[in-house]
Amino acid sequence: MTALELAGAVRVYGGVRALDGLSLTVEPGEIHAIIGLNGAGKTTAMKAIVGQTALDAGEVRLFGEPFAHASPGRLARLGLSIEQPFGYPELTVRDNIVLAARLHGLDRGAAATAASSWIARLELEPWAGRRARGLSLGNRQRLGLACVAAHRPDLLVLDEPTNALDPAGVLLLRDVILEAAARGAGVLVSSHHLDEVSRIAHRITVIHAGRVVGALEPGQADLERRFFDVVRRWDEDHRHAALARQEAHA
Amino acid sequence: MRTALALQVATFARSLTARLATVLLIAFPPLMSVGMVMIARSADAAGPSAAKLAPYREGTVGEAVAALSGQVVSVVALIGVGFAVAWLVGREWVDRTLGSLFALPVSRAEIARAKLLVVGAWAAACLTLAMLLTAAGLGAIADGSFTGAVVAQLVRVWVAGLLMAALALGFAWVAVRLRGYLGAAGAIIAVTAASQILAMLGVGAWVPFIAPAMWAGAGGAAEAATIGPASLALAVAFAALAAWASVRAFARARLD
Repeated sequence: MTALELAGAVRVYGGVRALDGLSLTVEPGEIHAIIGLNGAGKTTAMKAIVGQTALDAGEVRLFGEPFAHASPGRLARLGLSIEQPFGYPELTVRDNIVLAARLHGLDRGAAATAASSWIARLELEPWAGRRARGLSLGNRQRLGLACVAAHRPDLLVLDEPTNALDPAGVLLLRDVILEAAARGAGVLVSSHHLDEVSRIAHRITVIHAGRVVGALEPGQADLERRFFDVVRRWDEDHRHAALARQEAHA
Repeated sequence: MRTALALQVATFARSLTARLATVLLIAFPPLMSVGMVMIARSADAAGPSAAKLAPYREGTVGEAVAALSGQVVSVVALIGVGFAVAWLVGREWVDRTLGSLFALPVSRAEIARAKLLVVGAWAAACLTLAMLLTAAGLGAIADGSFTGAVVAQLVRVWVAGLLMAALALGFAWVAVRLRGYLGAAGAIIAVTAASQILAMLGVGAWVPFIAPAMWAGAGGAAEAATIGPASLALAVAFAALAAWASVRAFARARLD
């Protein structure tokens, strides 16, 4: 069963079509990376998937069922981090992870065990008792990752998870994503770190102008050049629409 | 619901706004009502201040303290509880924590209900303690103050305070609609100011934010007598409607 399906998504802000018939899927055990320029529609697509923004048209299906009617049991299988990772600034690192796990359906004991395990795994021990507001941006992001993954979700939706991570953090994140996929979880991830994407993704989809404009083969060199080739080719084929879009943004 | 409550208790307990509001709700009513009556009746009260304090020299000490507490508790409950609920709801936008509350097994309606329950329970506890401290302070400064009328007035003030706190929960709706606590803070100040004007115009009995305060004696004994069960029932109904609308608005809010 497909873990996630976004079909014909349309979202219009003012006169701008942020999503213009975008469709994508994530299969169990698959790491599906979406790449695109700023404003391409990646974050809007993810926000639409989890209900943060309402679609003007299109449908989201979670494990085969419409998202709008997803039961708590199905929602417990989802982990998301979009724009701002989970983390209340006045709570400690440990309390944040425990509460995030409980919000995803774990009981108090299981949540406490998961928190200890993830604090160790993401090397957050020195800050476990510290309030989240005192963390560096990179450690905030590690905390967010722990909060997303502590309940062992079957579908991860991660928007720019490598943003503020140092190289050690990127390696930890890579391990988390690969391990999740290895146990059968689907992963939808957006990133500007194309080398990293190329290394771990099973499928890479190029998003531009709110729609899917191509796919790239993972594991090959020079992903940047191939990405820009796809985008440029699409813009040339749709020059008039591109000009109109630029005017709308201006 | 237990998880939603646990999250709200954890965040609210560590909030500076909640701590300041706790001090305001517990300490201000007894200090103000007992303290002002003591000052008014002290031998040193003289000059322009003495004229302002004159009403607090009327009647017995118990009657004066109970009457003054009616004015103080109503306003403090509205402002203190209003700011607390505005923070607990509006912070989800200001601190950008709302996004993580989507697509959870715990619904956002449940989270909103937990916010109102936590603030409501905290407000009830604070106001109860404030009234007990007021009674204790009164007992300390004047023996034999607790006549039947004084006790009845103190109980009435306590009930009115709880009603004003329930009404203040409705500022959660403003925090949701304006996506933060600053707009709600403005609304609290505006409602407080407008209430003064409407009370002076004589229509307070039918304004939910004024009727409980008038009933508690904020406008004097004569005006308190004009507040019947219908006025109080309207205030209760308005508080319930505002709480329902707050939960609904929070559950339906998006991040566009």
